[in-house]
This record gives sequence, C-alpha cells and structure tokens, in this order.
Amino acid sequence: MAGQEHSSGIAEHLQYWTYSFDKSNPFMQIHLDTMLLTILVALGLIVFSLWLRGRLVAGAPTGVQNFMESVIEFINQTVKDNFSVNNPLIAPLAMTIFIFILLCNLFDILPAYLMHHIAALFGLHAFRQVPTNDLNLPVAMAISIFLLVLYYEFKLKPLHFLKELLLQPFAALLLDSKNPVVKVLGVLLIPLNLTLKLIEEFAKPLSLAFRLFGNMFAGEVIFLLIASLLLVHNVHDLSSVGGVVSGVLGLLVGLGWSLFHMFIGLLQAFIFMILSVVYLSIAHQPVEH
Amino acid sequence: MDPHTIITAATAISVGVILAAAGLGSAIGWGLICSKTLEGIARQPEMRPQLMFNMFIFAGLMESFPFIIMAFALWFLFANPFIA
Repeated sequence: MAGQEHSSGIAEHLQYWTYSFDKSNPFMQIHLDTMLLTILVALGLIVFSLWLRGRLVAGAPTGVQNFMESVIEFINQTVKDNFSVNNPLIAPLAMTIFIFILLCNLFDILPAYLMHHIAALFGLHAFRQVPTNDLNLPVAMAISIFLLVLYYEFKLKPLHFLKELLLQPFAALLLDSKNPVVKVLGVLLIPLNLTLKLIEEFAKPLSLAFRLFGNMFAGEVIFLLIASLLLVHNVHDLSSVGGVVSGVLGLLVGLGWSLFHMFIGLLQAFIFMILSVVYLSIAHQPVEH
Repeated sequence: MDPHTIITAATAISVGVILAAAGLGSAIGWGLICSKTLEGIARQPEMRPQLMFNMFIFAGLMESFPFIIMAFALWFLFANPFIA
C-alpha cells in the first residue's frame, strides 16, 4: 500500500506544465515549463554576450573575459581536432550547443521539487525545472543536427551520397561482376541497401537525443527515489531516531548523487557537442577516388 | 487473475531484467575501457593526462546505452504504458 503510494507519488512528480491545443490528440501539446526555461536561458546568453562585448579588453584579460576566452579556446581546439574542412558555421554551432546544454543541465542543482512549489503559488499544477528532462528538447536538437548533416551531404556531394544510400553495403554485386544475372541480383538488393542505410542514418540522431534525455531523466528519477528513502510518513515523525537516521542517510546519498549528476551533465553536454561536430565532419569529407 | 495484475507483475519482472542488463553492460564496458587505459598508462606514463581525459569521454559515450535503457525501465515502472 505504501509502496504503491510511493510509486504513484513519483509518477505524479513527473508531470509537465502542459498546454493542450487539442485534448484528444497527444501530439498537440506544448510543455510550457520547458519552453519558458529554454527561452530564458537563450535570452540570458544573448544579454550576457552583448554585455561582455561592451567591455572587451585587448592585452591581458581578467575575470569574466578570461574565463570565456578559456572556454572558447577549448572549443576551438576540439573543433580543430575533429573537423578538417573549413566551415565558419561549425565552431559557433559547437559552442552554442555546449553552453546551452550545459546551462540547461545546471538547472538540476535546484532541489527536485522546488520550482513546483513556487509554481503552485501561481496556481500551476506542475513545473519541471530541467529543460533537458523533457523528451522534446533533446529530440529537437538532434533533429536539427540531422537536418544540417543531410543539408551538407546533399550540398557538397549529392551523387556520392545517393550512391552510398543505394549501393552500400552490397555494392560489389552490381558494380564488379560481369555476369548479368548477378547484376540483376545487385539491382534487386537496392531496397535492402536503402533500408539498412536509412536505419544507420536515423540511428545517429536518435542515439544522440536519447543519450542526453536518458541521462537527465534517470538522474531526476533517482533524486526522487532518494527523497523517498525517508522512512517516515509525516514531518512530525522526523524528530524520532528513525527519522533522523533516515534523513541524514538520504541527505548524504543525495549529496553524492548530486555531485555525480553535475559531472554527468557536463560530460553529456560535451559528448553531444563532439558527436555533432564528428557527424558534420563526416558529411564534409571530400570524396576520394 | 485479472489482466491488470498480470500486466503489473510482468512489468515488474521485465524492469528487473532490464536494470540487471544495464548494470552488467555498464560494468563490463567500464572495466574494458579502464583496463585498456591502465595498460596505456603503464606503457607510457607521460601520456597519463591525455589517456585519463579520453577515458572519461569514451566512458561517457559508452555509458549512454545503460542510461537509455534505464530511462525506458523507469518509464515502464512509473508511467506504465501497458496499462490502458
């Protein structure tokens, strides 16, 4: 009974502040808390950049400029190591991805239910404070990267890309043999080639999205599970010995997991950035003969 | 037994199996990555910072699959799609 209460309690903590255009269609919904927080982060970044631009100093930088220069140097080095062609879009894109995902993940420092309590004062029924918790945000970013990769593939080497889609991996049958029967077999295998290549092409953005989502979502649920480690059922019992012991235990475990989760948030932002740069660099590889 | 009980019981068992697989895969993956890193450090001690840095990056990449299936397992556990 208490177990079921706990699990339904956790499930109800995983609701979003949604606005439904059409209640019968589960796709016509907007998660307003995610939208609000991402717009806030983006506006904050723009305002910060404009403010920093006003006080740039050539020569020996100090303070905020020093920190931002080290970040930019780090991203510059990473992009230079992984991207061999010249494209002025990639490094700013990498920096935007890294800093944006990092800032969104940093919202997890707040206690898991804090924004919900604040939002309840305004009459909202739910508010999740980590935007990357929501499946929509990582999938949207991964779809953007996927569309960019497709755009560059079609722009820079359309014929090669088409040949790759239709003829890999069973290319030798069609191209190298002299026997016309084997050539016909090669043509018949084109749908199979296309299927395999499409699965491989779609697996990349899907894994990109789910990696980020899975890490952040699982982290949040573990925070909620740690909170339910408190073995007492009301606040009045917290002062008992059992209450104090389980409270301290929950605090220590929660602290440990919080530090680890911050590290994971940083690492996943970095991995998203590096994988986007690597996928784009694959799309930019010149065709060798 | 009514269908709701059967589905809940089956979900519980499957969540256990999924989490066991996640733990197993993650542990074995980390073990392989760290053992190769240690071999590399033993061969060339001056490469230690490079190797450690790369170890964390690739371990974060490999850690993604256990996290993905753990997210699925938690979804089955708390917002079970098989019920209704």
